[in-house]
Order: sequence, then structure tokens, then C-alpha cells
Amino acid sequence: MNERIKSAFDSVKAEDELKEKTLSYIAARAEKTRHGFRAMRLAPLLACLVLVILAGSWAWFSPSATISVDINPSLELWINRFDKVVQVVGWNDDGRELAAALDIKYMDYDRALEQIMDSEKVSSLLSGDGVMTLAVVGDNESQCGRLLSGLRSCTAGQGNTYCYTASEEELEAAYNLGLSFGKYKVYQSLIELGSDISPQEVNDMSMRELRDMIDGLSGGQSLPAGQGPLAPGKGQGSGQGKGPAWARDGES
Amino acid sequence: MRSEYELNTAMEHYADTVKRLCMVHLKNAADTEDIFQTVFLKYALSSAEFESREHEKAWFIRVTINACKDLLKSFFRSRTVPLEELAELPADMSEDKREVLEAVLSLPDKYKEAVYLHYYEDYTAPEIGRILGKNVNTVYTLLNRARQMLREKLGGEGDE
Repeated sequence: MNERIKSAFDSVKAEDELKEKTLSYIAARAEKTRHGFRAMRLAPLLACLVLVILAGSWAWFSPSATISVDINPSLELWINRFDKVVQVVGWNDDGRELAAALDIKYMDYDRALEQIMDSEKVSSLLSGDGVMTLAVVGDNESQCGRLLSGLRSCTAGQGNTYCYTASEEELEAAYNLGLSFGKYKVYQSLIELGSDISPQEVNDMSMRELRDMIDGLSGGQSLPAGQGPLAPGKGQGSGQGKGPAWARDGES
Repeated sequence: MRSEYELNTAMEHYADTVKRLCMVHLKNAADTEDIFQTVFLKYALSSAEFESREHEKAWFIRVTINACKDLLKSFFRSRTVPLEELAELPADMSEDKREVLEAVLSLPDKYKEAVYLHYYEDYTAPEIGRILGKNVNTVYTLLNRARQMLREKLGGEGDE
């Protein structure tokens, strides 16, 4: 029986066609695998590229400084490390209306400010007796200094315009009250002068009205340097312009 | 990945063995082709080092048997492939050989592979036990019962 079984199985052979098909299949798979390996070799490069893109996007879209613009409208420009506007936030109805009307996203901050000052609403206020304050807030001293200098250049021809820097802590305190930074400083001064005005009321009033209110409460007397609403935050900045006494400390 | 030369050499040495094992377990040419591709691709991609030709052959036998069992167990196949009586045998096979193969292939699976490994590949019961992962005594039992069944089918010829 051994021999019969051996002889019977011996007559079973793999056909040449089957062998060739198998070899072709494996050759095709090997080619695919090689492509796969090539793609695998590129993977670290692609991963680096993705990281660079992500880091670049983060750097581009993350604000590193804020410019608070108050005249009523009140709005803020969030500025990235490349001095471009990445977000425009309106802090009151006028501010939101103006923010919606402006097309200044991703624009250089100085050009954006020019557009704001050229807008119908702001230019009419400035040409009247409106008071505009511009506050630069951020942790990066070098950038804040650069922005402040740029803002001063932009507003050089304007009276009643004040530029200064402030700290992040002060900005956060302003946000907690639902105020833009400029309005927050005015609110602080009003409270110090004994007013019981609410943050909401401050938010709805123009800087000119607020200034008049401060003048009234202080008996028309100038506040000592460093105690006005636009006093530089923690000695970090300086005001600019020919504005009222309460806002004139550090005036250049 | 093994070289083309290694693959061609393996095909030359083990294609018939794989084919016979496919015939023992499977019943149609398409499944045999699948198993061929599976086994030789696995070999091509394997980095296993073989001590000898015998060691390599045992690897092919084990991988082929496992691949056949996996194919038979697959859910898709169990729902779609009709049961067939016996594997397709070569058309030009003599009557005597056909009779013997039909007798072997009609045995239950566990007997067929033991018969093939013992009678054709000349493996001993302990070697078969190692290849199939079975107890040696179980292999002896399988071979004894298979021998009896084959005697009944093919006549009273002895084993030795």
C-alpha cells in the first residue's frame, strides 16, 4: 500500500501555469511593497512638513498683542506676531457694526487703523470733538513698542488721540467687566472720582461724554500725572496728543 | 523580502508538495491558486532562516496546512462554496492511481494529512506530531485507523 500511495501522490504535480501565476502575483505584490517602502521613507519628511504647517498656522493665527480702539465705537484688533490683524472684535453695538463693515482681517495693523480712522463714523467723530484712545496690550515688549510707535505715526496728525501700552492683567480685568481696555480705564477713573456709573453705561457712552463726566466730577481740575484714566499701565507706556488733562500724562 | 532566485528555487522544490497538500484539503483549482499565492508570498516576505532543506520543507508543509485550514474556516467561504465530494484529480491519471487517491481523499481530514505526510513524505509519527501540533500517540492512532480504512477501500494489502 505504501508504494501505491506514494506512486499515486507522485503523479500529482503543480502545473507550470499555476507556478507562473503565483510568481507573477508575488512580483506584483513586491512592486507594491517597494512603493509602500518609498512612501514610508517619505513619511518623516511629510510629518515634518505637517508640523511646520501647523506651527506656522499657529504662529499666524495666534494673537500676540491687542490694540484696543475706543472712541465709541469700541473695538479691538487682535494682532499676530507678524503685526497682522487676525481678529476684529466689537465691544459695543457701534463697535460690532463697525467691525462688520470693515474688511481689515489679515491686514497690517497700521493700514487697518487707517481704515478705521477713515470710516465715516470715526472720521466724523474725530473731526468733531471726539476723543480716541488706542491701547496696545501684550506680553512681548518689543512688539508692543513697535506697535505703539506705529500707532503714534498713524495718529500724528490727529488731536484728541492717545496711544499707550498696558498689561495683560489690566486687559483681563477689562474683559471681566465686559469693557474694552480704553473704556475700562475711564471706568476706573470715574469710580475713583466717586461715580456709581455701571460698566454697561460706560460701554454705551462715547469717550467725549465720558471725558466730560470726568471733568465734571473732578471739578474741571486736571488729575495728577499717572492718575488719569489713560495713565499708562504699570508705567509701561505713554500717552500722546493734546487731549484733556486727565489723559495727558506722559504726553509727548 | 527574498530574492527572485530564492523564490524560483523554492517554487521548484516545494510547488508539488504544496499542490498535493492543497489536493488533500481543498476541492477546486481556484482555492489551490489562492493557497499557492498565500504560501509563496508568505515565504517571499518571511525572514526566517532555515537550517536545512528539510527544515524549509517542514515550514512549507506547516504553512500550507494552516493556510488551507484558515481558508476552510473562513466565514465567507462557509456561506458561499458548495460542498463537493472530492478534489479534482489530474485527467491523465491511471485508473489504479485514481482509485488510491480517491480512497485517501475520501478519508476524514485529520486522517488524510497524516496519511500523506507518513506514506508520501516519509515522516515518522513524532515528526508528524511536531508538524501538525498533535500528540504522538494521537498520530499513531490516526495512522492506524487510516490504514484500516484504506485496507477496507483498497483491499487487504499490508502496510509494510
